[in-house]
Amino acid sequence: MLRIEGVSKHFGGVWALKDCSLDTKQWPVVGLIGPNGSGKTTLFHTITGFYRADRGKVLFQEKEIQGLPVHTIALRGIGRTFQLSRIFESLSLLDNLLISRKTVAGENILSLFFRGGQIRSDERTAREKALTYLNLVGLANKRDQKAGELSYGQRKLLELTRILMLDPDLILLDEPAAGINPTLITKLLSVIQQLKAQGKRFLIIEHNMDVVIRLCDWVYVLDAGTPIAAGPPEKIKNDPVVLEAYFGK
Amino acid sequence: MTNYFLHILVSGEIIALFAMGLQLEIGETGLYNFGHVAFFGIGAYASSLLSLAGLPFLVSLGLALLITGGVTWLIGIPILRLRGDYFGLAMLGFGEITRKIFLNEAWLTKGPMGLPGIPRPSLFGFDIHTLPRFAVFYGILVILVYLMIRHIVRSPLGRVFTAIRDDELSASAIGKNTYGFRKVCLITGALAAGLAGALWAHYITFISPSDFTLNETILALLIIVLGGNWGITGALVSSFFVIGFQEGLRFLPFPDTFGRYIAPVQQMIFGLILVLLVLNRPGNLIKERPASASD
Amino acid sequence: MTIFFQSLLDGLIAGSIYALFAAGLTLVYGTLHFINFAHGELIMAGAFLAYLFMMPPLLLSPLLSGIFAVTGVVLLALLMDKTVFSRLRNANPLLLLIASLGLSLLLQNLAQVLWGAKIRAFPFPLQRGKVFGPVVITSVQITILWVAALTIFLLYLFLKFSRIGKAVRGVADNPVLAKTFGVESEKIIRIVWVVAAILAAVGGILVAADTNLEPHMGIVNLVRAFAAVLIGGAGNVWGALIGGFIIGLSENLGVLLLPIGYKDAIAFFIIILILLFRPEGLFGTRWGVR
Repeated sequence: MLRIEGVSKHFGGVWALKDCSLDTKQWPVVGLIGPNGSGKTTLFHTITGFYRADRGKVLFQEKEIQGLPVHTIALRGIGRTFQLSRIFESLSLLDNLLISRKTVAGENILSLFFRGGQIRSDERTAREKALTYLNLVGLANKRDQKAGELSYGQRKLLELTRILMLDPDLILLDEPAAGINPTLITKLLSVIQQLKAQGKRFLIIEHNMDVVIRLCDWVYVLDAGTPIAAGPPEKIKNDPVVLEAYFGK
Repeated sequence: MTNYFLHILVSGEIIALFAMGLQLEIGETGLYNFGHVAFFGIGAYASSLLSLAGLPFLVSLGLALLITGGVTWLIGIPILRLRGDYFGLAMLGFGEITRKIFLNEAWLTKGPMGLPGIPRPSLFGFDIHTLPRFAVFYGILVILVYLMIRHIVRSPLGRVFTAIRDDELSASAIGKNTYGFRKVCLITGALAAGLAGALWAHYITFISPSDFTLNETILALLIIVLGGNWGITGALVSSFFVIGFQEGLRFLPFPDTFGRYIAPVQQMIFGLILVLLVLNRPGNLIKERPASASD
Repeated sequence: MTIFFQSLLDGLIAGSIYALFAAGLTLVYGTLHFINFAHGELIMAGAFLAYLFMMPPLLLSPLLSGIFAVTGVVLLALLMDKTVFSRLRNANPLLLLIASLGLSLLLQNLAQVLWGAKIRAFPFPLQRGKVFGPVVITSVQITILWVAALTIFLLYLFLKFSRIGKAVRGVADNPVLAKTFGVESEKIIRIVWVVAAILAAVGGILVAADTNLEPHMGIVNLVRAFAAVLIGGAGNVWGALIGGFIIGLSENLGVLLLPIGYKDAIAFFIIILILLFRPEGLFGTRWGVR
């Protein structure tokens, strides 16, 4: 589904990614771990078009996506969350989801004035889908609140459901479990498991090894911008190379 | 006396159109356009020149809006690549360059002398030449534009504008072509300003480059900051307050020797109000800057 | 050809003044991260205070007037920071920008109330220029050049060798570093205002001596300064100084190609071009596109 081939990216002489190659193959949930500053988030930015790699290829469903604008990549089927979740704070929860669709009839300025009926029915259909997702993560009762009023963990859930509205084939999660309480982590895990069962694919950056082990089918370990190990999570957990990368010798 | 109030009303209507455009750009979408006055000027000059060349009012007005929109579309191609204060500054530059063009291309604009004798509006033979008629006709247009912008703001399109204001990166990450949306917003705002400029020219019947300075943009900025959390309605209402105050000062019975102080004192007060409003944080006018992509 | 050399000289003189404006503005921009529109009014205030001291009833010497004017502008800058900018330390830069627009409007119109809108000139006797080869230069212009050179030299010494100066430049050039200064940052900000005000006031007096003064002279000089800041890369003092000379030269050489009426628009063209093609400035900086 997603194949990265020899991607390099540098900032002012520092290589954030160096000859980085990885492939999600057939695994539904792939984990990406590594110490801070090892280039994980840079890789996410590169995949989703925020950065352009200096070298290398990013192939999604066997097609090069490097150089496409961010929004095009999103519409091609890659959804992502951010490390510090980024939701639209002055929109209601419902609007955060309603806006997140591949085509929205009411976003064309001319339709606004000439196709009111079509827009209303488009919004009504979307509203039902949005409510289903809000129910899934247990935020339906807050649907009309401004998203800015949500707690940190709730923001992460909202951000995830916002991605789901786009029906992506691949979902990139940047530290979904960081900084949220155990109850919400459990909730998040069950949501991801459910989605996995529905056929969604994930690439997940996560520090919490517990979460990695419970979720991931395969794990890549990044250090200094290069994958240094790969394998099933239980194996990776005890790999001496990995331990060295995290804790030094 | 009645005439005086009607004049304030008409001026307020014109400035309301101008300020509502800026509210859409800055307040709803976060496009800090410090060169908004350029659109006002282009609308005014285009409509004046066309009707001085003999075209009927409505045709001049329509073409002037087309020209304003076209120019905005063009300059948007490079300038909309910029964001935040850099965008604002580039637009400010565009505004000043536009004024220099009005000033220097005398073959077209008569330069600093300005354009006198701009025809009054006429609708299918019905002349708008008295203050009450201006007040009613322009008032109808203000209400129409107000309703249209409000419709946009409350629509799914307005939702995208808000999303871009909140967090543009995030909006592009959910598949929004933010450049395109910002352009739609800028052109819509520019059309409101262009309309205001044209209506103003046909009302005052004389325009010159000195009417289109940064001060006009600051005036609109003051109006929308004053409008605070009340969005487009706030901009509409506070336009009349600010213009009422501005024109009202002239009306007070100051001795003649004070005459030269009135305009600068009024500007001083506007500056002071702007500072005070900012210090007291006008609600959602300005969002705190979201973290950058690298966080 | 004569006109070319004369324009070159005029460009250098103007450039030496713009360099002062730009160096101060870039320090403020680098440290507080907002475009201070009221920087132009510091320039204007320098010119008008010097004028005030030089004219009846005070009739002080140009040197003494200059010193008093600079002191006055420093106080004005500190007052602006205390009453307005210091209350917005962690606010969005656009909020600070709008506040500075308000201050700018307030101050230029205050000057208009006090002195009227008329264009004035310093009371220097009319001068005959000295001829040097292909160019003519007046003694006022010679004074301008060495005062500007001396000011730049002093700025160099301050930023290069004094402890606080090095800290100021470090903070302006590198926002990440600013955090490591912690408690000292307020002190550094005050020093930045003092330095920026001195540069603006000296420059304002010089520009008034070279040309003239009027209450609304701030904005055009601010624009020149900002163009120079962008050329240098935001926060880069040396780049801003060079940028000032580039603006001075482009304006004076540019009018050989463009109608004179567009002289004031040249800095704007440069701003737009730089923003579009090299937002990090010609001389680079660590924080570019936003």
